[in-house]
Amino acid sequence: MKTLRLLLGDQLNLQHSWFKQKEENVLYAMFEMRQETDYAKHHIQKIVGFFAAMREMADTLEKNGHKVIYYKINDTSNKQDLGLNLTQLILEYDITHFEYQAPDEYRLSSQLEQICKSLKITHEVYTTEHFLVSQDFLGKMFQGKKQVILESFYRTVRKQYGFLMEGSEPEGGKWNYDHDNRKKWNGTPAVPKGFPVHNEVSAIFEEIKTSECVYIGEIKPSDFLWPINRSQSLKVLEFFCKEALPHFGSFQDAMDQKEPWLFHSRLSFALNTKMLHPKEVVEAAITAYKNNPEAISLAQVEGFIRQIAGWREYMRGIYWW
Amino acid sequence: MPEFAKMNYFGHERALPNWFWTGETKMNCLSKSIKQSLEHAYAHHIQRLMVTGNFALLAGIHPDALDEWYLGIYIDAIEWVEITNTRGMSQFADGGIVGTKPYVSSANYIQKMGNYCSNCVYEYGKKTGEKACPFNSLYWRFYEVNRPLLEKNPRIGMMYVTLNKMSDTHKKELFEQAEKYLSGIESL
Repeated sequence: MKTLRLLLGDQLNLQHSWFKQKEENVLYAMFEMRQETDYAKHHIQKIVGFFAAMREMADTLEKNGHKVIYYKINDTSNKQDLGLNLTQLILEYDITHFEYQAPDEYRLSSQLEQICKSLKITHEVYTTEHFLVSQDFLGKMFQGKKQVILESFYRTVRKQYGFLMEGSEPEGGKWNYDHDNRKKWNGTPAVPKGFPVHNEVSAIFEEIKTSECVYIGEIKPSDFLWPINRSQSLKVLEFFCKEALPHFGSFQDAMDQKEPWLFHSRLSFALNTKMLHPKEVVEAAITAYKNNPEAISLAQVEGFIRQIAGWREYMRGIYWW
Repeated sequence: MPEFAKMNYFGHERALPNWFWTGETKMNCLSKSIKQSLEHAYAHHIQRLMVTGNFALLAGIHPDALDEWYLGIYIDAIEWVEITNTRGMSQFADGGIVGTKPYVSSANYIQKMGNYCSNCVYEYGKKTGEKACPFNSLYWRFYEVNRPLLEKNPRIGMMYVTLNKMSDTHKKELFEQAEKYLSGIESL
């Protein structure tokens, strides 16, 4: 038996149980495709970021002894369509079984269901092992209710994971410190300096230009500021916890015309591509708070955890409801 | 909810102004937020919600056009997170599944939470007349136009108490100002 396992561009979870063992008969497939660059008019940094992170993931998997087939955007064998690429590989490598991780979007979910219907081999769907709660958790929780409520969803997740909990009570006696989190920023405290990630992405940028896919926005290819692998993502997380978290909550709603980042975590890309797990992000913030409660107050860390364990999971639950 | 992608509670139809793709507008908060997004593929949640999203909702932009914009411009935008935040949280196009009321504000909130207003062509404290900040008249027009859909919402009721207390002359001025701005939306 020979198995083909698909990894989509936002499924870059190196901690996934798929990778615990090297298997001789398993082939991983990753594709940079026009169907993905063209379904919306994307920002150039988004296309570059996804492709760069996918390539890093493929390299890491290969270094760890896994077999990977990777189609770059301009490869001649790349059919630029998920179904065509998969069918081609299945024939080429005599694949007898196909596996994929459940996509986060309906678009890809239904495309893969269609593809599987047309395949003559067996298939199996796995979870991405990324989110804190399952895809149908919110639906089940609010079954028969007229409205879904973020606050009760958030409290349930906090209890389930014991995030900032003292037994069954929230640490500090309050669930929500949102009212402490509405300050304007007038230049002090100073915004964090020394962001740890600077990537050179000129080669990928040139390839994307050659491919003639349409994009918007600007890029500085010699200094790309988004993390493209897990170790860079962990550096951004560490930087955030040390430098920005002490003031995150207070100024999370503040806006400044010269400071785009203020005290924000800049982790959304690393999280949404699954290079980081929300649990490790929340735990890193809690550890930073426990280690330095004088610099990081409960309100700062609660405000951040609300975004990751509350809002982000809640939105995904609504989408799949 | 695959049907989320089709929801348009207010029936908004207006096209997205071209300056959403360039940042070339005299409204400083929108100009800076959009230009920052083009430069970094990023804006934080309040810039997305209370500047670009707020303006789009007040101006009655079609949620399809807005989805396309948010889905494209932000590096973290994937449909599951983009569409629920845009149509749900920001545009109330779901009629209240994600949120309990539309997130709209006049210039006051933007002035209070940031420094965009300090060097803007428009005056945040002015509701009508020359250089009045568009957010102010659009804000009251939004509530007036959507009265049948929003007046009974317990979290909004107070806005209608305020609106109902305004003199007819003042309301007429406000709504005329708003319509003037909307008809010249490309040159705001």
